[in-house]
Amino acid sequence: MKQDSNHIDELLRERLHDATAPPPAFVWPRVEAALRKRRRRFLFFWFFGTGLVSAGLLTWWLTTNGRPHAETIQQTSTTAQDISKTITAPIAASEPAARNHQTDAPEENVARTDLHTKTQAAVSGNNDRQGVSQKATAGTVAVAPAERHSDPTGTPALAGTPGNPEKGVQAPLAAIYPFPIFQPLSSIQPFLISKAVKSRPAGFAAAIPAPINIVRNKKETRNCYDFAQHPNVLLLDAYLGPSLARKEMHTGPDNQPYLAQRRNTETRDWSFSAGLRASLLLDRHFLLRSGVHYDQVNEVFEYIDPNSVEVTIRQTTQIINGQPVTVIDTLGVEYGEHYLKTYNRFGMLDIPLEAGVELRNGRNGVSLNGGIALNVLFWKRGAILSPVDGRPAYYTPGKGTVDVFRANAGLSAIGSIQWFCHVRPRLRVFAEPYARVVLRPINVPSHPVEQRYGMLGLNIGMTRILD
Amino acid sequence: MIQGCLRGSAQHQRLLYEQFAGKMYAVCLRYARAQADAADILQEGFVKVFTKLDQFHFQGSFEGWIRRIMINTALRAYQKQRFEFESSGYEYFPDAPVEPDAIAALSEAELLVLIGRLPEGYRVVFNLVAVEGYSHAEVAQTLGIQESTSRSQLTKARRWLCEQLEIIQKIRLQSSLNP
Repeated sequence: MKQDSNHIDELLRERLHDATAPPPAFVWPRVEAALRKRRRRFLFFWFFGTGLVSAGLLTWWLTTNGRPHAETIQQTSTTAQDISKTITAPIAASEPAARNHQTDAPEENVARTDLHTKTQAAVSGNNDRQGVSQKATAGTVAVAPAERHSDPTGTPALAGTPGNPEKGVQAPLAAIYPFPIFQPLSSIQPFLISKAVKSRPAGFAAAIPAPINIVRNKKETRNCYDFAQHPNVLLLDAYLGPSLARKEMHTGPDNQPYLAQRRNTETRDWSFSAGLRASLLLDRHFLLRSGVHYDQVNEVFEYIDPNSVEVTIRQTTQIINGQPVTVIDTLGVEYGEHYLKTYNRFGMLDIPLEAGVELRNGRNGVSLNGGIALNVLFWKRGAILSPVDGRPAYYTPGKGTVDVFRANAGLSAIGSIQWFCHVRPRLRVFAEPYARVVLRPINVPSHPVEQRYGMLGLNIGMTRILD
Repeated sequence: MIQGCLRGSAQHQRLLYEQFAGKMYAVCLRYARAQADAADILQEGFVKVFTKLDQFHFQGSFEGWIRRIMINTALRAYQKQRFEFESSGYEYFPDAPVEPDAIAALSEAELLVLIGRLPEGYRVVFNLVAVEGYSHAEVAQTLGIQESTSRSQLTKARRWLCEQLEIIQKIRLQSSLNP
């Protein structure tokens, strides 16, 4: 390393290598600010990325599982003749037919999907041998009769494998689910099939050719809004609810005693939030939300000084020998305990900007939302221990004696999950747990303690749907 | 403390800063043109320290790791600025012997100021070779210059420092004779 050694080099290296110089005081706040900025950027990209991935996954889920042809169709029958009826109506229109059957014969429900239809060809050979007539065309659902054998234990079994229900089921399953993606599903199919077959009357002795269906209850459409007709609507929300704030306070090693005193004197209390919000529902599932959100953080400040001395004085100005003289009289001295309790409040009025995804199932649904909230008003009332003398001091703007908190709380990251239920087609009630993190400390930089907030709350509210 | 910083604890970050800021600011002062630039380098360096802390594998000196970050940050700042400033034109320096007392009589702060007054290119090479112990090959690679340039600039830096120290000695001698 050392190629060009020189006497002056050595002398200077000895003196300078471990030299120290007091850094300017402004460097650390700048470092902190830069780190906070990076953290905020990270949080923003994390929320944005997570939201994007979630939206993508939900879109994929909706497009693959939420299509009309994949809806479950309920079929009810009591006799083989009923079951042998071929429903030739389009799938989208088959739900009323299923409902009619249900009304006529409520004893039994067998649910089938078009997956069954698609796989009829795979099992038709087996059924033909048993004299089973089937008819399945594109866009129709065929419900086929079948003979059923019963084993001596009374357990119904499918045709082709008398006395062994599992074998009778497993053989068609392999044909029905030739693709690897369906293989894990096949492990639960015997249970579903045997349950469906068991529910049939004893006289019904027809084997069902691979009725591999996932039973899904029919959606309750009462009080539902027709989002298919109106995919883009405006939703107006009004909400209110309790919340709890989590406060984080940090300081340097020099101010640890002061920080400990503050922690001892300040305790959190129940808080609340409220707001009015407009949400634009796009393409039935995607939400853009904004409005006015108010969060109030409540805390209790309690201060006890067991060795308090209170001196009461009277100051008067008297004219003595023609000159004004100020006279101070001590009226009394009290020794005792000084107790002070205040309710500290921090109110934050914000404009949230959120994006979300909404999923519905009948009257109920959930929406996942995330975004930022821009603070437009930050008001505060209360008292804390003064960093100067450790005694209570009010920070209420205009009346306070210490300057502790910023004029504006800045940006927050917010996220929520809303559960809603339609009580009328255009009216919902909802419960919405939410989380919020104020991205920067709410104190002024000159205050020795860095104070940050995060909130968890539950909003209860109502939504009005406007076309 | 490092673990605390890795968890993102502001308190531990402050502690770490307070422990190393003094030494690192002295390093920055040696490389920077002015105190304001040194403060900028210190700030940028510590931001890097906190954000790259997970890359420190607890092998070797932690102070050395931080110092390396500061030097690299200072060099990057130097490389950004070196085309913006003209050469100060120091080309000829007379040889002059350096009394050890001349350096010993100066405080660290005065020495830092003296180093800080070195012309831009000389200062960086002198710091890297003479104080940090880099080889000319390493300096040449780091700064993108020829090894011969590095040697030349170091020689010129030494001469310049010797001259300045001689001037300081003379001034002190005169002030001691005429108090």
